[in-house]
Amino acid sequence: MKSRKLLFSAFIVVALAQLFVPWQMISEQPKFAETGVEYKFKIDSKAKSDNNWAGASIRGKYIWLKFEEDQIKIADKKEWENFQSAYVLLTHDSAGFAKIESATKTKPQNSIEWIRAKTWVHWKDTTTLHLEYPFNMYYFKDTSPKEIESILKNGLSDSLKVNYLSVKIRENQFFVNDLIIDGISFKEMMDKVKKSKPGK
Amino acid sequence: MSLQKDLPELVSANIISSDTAQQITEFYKRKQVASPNRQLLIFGILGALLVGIGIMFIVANQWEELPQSIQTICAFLLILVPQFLCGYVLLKMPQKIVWRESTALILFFAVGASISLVSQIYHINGEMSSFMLTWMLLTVPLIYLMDSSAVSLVYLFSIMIYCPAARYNLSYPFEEYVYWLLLLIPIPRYYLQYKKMPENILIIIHHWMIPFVLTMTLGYLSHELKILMYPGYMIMFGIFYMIGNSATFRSKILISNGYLLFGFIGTVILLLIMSFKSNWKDMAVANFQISNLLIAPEFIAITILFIAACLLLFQQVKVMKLTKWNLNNIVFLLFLFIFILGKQDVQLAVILVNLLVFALGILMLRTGSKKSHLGVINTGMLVIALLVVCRSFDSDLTFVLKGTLFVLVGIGFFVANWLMIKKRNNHEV
Repeated sequence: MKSRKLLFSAFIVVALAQLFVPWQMISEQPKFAETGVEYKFKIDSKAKSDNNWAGASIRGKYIWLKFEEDQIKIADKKEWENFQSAYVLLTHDSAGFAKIESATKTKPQNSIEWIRAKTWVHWKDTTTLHLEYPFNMYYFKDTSPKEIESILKNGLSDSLKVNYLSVKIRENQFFVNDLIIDGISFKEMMDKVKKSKPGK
Repeated sequence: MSLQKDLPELVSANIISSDTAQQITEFYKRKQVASPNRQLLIFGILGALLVGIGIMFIVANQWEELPQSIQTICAFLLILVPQFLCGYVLLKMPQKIVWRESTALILFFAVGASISLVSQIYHINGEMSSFMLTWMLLTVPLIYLMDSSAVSLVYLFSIMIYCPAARYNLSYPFEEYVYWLLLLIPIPRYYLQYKKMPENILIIIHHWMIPFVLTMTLGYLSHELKILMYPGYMIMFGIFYMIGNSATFRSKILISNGYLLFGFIGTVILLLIMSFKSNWKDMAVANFQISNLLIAPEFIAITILFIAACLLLFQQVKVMKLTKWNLNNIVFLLFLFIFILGKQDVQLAVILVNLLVFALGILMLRTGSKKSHLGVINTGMLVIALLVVCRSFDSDLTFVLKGTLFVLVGIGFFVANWLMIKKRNNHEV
């Protein structure tokens, strides 16, 4: 009986630890929201994707985005391999958009403005390090992909329009604010589409 | 069960006494009592898995419609409900294996799912390795607290996935070694349970899971001295074989003896790989200086494995009769000798490896013939056939020679089987 009580007490301790971890993850969020730095990642309107639109394509309930600032020149091609992780230190350019300052293998010590990205190097051009950010898949809530397709086709193929993804970043944590297409919030566009639909 | 039906007939024909018939009937009754428990256990665990997956699908379907606060409550409820069930089982019915195993298993998955959900709800971006490590550390106590073999199994499988994530996490270079510490945690319980309930189905699955996980992960210790992983794997397969061939495992049917199969198949495949000269090319450039070796994780792994293998070998020498021995028990030692020789003369090492595979095949033929065991004979033939196939890839052999080798092995198969069946028929006559 005594051993059963002891076992149960140990189980309670483990159960509390199991609850503490997600609670701690949540409790750190306000701190992140206050101190995260906003970055605007310009969408590459010249890039061709799977569906042949510029800079984006729909994959299930996600929009795949290709950013202009997702590569950096490297001197030593042997230094990087495909599917490694790089610490990407970010800064802002003169127009206020995100700019890569450097990509390193070790964690930046003196800055909070960094994110980890997956690397790949094309076999034809080994002097460019390509980076895949964790926020390059933009999630959209229940809306017909056809409407999204037309919005993306019209908005992203025009290189004169400024399209970007607004993301808050702090030490590898990120929060996706919104996708902006020609100055208009994608979320707002979706709400309009939803309201205009009969029965919605 | 058919024997039970035949019992009255056997008694009336005076083949067995009525007492023996009674004992047989009681034996089957006892067995019947035990077997539904096993079925219940398996279906209970499967049920727990399906319920867990089903809940996740239902929640996922309507997930984006829910406000963030409800999503968060759901994430916590996902842990709280299985925790309550586990607590109840632990207090009220700790002797009910099916309940213990299924609730512990649900809690194991619930913890992982809850951390993932919170990450998704709050867009928390983390490392795969730190997620896995947190999940494993939070759930590994369930193996002991809930006395759960099912959790032990899924834990072993999960840390196998954690291993490469930790290996390639450049932020913490030493995290890869954490995997080996995690691997040690469930082993004492596994050993104790094996001593207590050797026929438990979940313990039998452990006999497969442990060699499988080790085979899949040992290679991640490879760094600069990749070539050292060959003897490393060979010693490990030697250990598996010796465990599978030990007194406690030898009597088991083959399906319950994962160690023996992993040990034997692993040894043969590795020898066949090393029978190609091209796989020795790293040997010439490898830096085997003592200062370099002592800090190499590959060398440290080999040393530990070698000590363990020698201890096992020593133990078997003490208890096993010489007639029970076969070449497989000492292949790792022979290979180690050949490997060291390979640093001086690769050509000679390759020839010796080929001879070793051939000898393995021949000795199996001999053993099979002695025991009149067609399975062993054909495995021996298969080893030789695989060696011939491998040599047929070598470009320096002529097509005539390759063809002749295939024909000879083919004839060998026919002749060996024919002789064996003939021998059996003669015995029966």
